[in-house]
Amino acid sequence: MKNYLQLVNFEINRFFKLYLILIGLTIVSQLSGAMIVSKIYMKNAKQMMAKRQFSMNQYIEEYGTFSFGQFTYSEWFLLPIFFCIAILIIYVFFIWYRDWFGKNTFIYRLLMLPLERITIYFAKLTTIMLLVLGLIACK
Amino acid sequence: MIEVKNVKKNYGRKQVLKGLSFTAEKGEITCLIGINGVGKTTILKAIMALTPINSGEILIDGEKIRKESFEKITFIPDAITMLPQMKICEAFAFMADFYKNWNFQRAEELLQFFKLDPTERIANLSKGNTAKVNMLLGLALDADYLLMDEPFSGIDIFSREQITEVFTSHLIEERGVIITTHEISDIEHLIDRAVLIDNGEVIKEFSVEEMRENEGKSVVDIMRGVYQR
Repeated sequence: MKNYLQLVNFEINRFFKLYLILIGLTIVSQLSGAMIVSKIYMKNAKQMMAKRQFSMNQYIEEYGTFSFGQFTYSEWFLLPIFFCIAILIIYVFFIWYRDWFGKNTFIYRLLMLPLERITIYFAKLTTIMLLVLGLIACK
Repeated sequence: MIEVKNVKKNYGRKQVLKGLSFTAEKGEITCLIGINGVGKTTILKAIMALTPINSGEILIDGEKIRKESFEKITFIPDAITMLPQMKICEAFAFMADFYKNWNFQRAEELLQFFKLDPTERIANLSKGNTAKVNMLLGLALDADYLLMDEPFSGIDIFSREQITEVFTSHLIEERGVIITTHEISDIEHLIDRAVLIDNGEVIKEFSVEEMRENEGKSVVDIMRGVYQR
C-alpha cells in the first residue's frame, strides 16, 4: 500500500506543473468569462431598455434575469472544460507512452521495482482519476 | 546462482534465442560475448522478466523471478532508466523510497568516487557521467547479482577506466555479475567466465583462468577461433 501511494504521488508530481497551469487557465477563463458575459447582458439590457422605453422590471418580466445557466452555455465556460478534457485524454496515453519510448526507458525502472506490476498500472489509473476529479472539483 | 535453461525467444518470426543455456555463479564475473544482434541484451531482459520468453526456464538461486527478487538482482541497462529532469539526489530519493536494500552510504561513496554533483540534473550530464550515474544506481543496491549491458559503450577512455576500477573494488566483490560486451579487450583481465554467443546460441562457455593456464589462450584467441571459422 505504501509503495502504491508513493507511486501515485510520484505520477501526480510528474504532471503537477501542467495540471496547475490547466487549473489556472480554467479559473482565470471562467472568472473573467463570468464578468464578461454578465457585462454583455447588462449592456444589452441597457440598450434594450433605452430603445423600447422599458423600466428594469418590465425588461426582467420580458427577458428574465441573468442566470448562471446563460454563463454555462458561453464559450468562456465551455472552452476551458473541453481543453482540459482534451489534455487529460492525451495524457491517458502519454502517461504510458513517455515511459516506454524515448532515450530513457523509465518503464524498465518501474518494472524492476520490488512490487507487484499491477501496482504500477493502478497507480497510473488512480493518477488519471484524481486529476479528472480534481478538475471537476475545481469547476 | 543464475541458471538460464534452454531459453527460446522470438521477435515475430525471427528467433532471437534458440535454446540458450548457461549459469552464472555468485562471486564471479561472467561475460556474455558476441557481436551486435546475437541476443545478449535480450537474455539480460529475459532474466529480469522485462521481456517474455517463449520457452525455457530462468532461475535465480533456484527460484523463478518474483517481486522480492528485485531486491536480490539488479539490471544496469546501456541507457539510464531515470527521468532526465530528475537531479541525481532526487534519483537517490526515488531508489530509497522503493528499495529496502538501497545503501545510501555506498551511494555517497560512489558519488565521491565518480566525482559527481548530486544537485546536477541527469539531462545536463555528459554521456560518460550519465553512464556513471546509471552504474551508481545499480551498484548502490545491496543486491547479490548485477546484470550490466554494455557498460563501456560510447564513453570516453577516462570514464571507462573509472568504471573498470569498480570491477576490482569491494563494490563488486562477492556479487555475481553478468556483463555483456562486444569490446572484450577492456575487461578481459577482470572476468572469470566467458560465454560466447552467436546467433541466439551458446557456442562456448569456459573459465578464463583455466583456459589461460591449460591452453595458454586468451578470450580474444578463443573468439578468433570461434567467430572466424
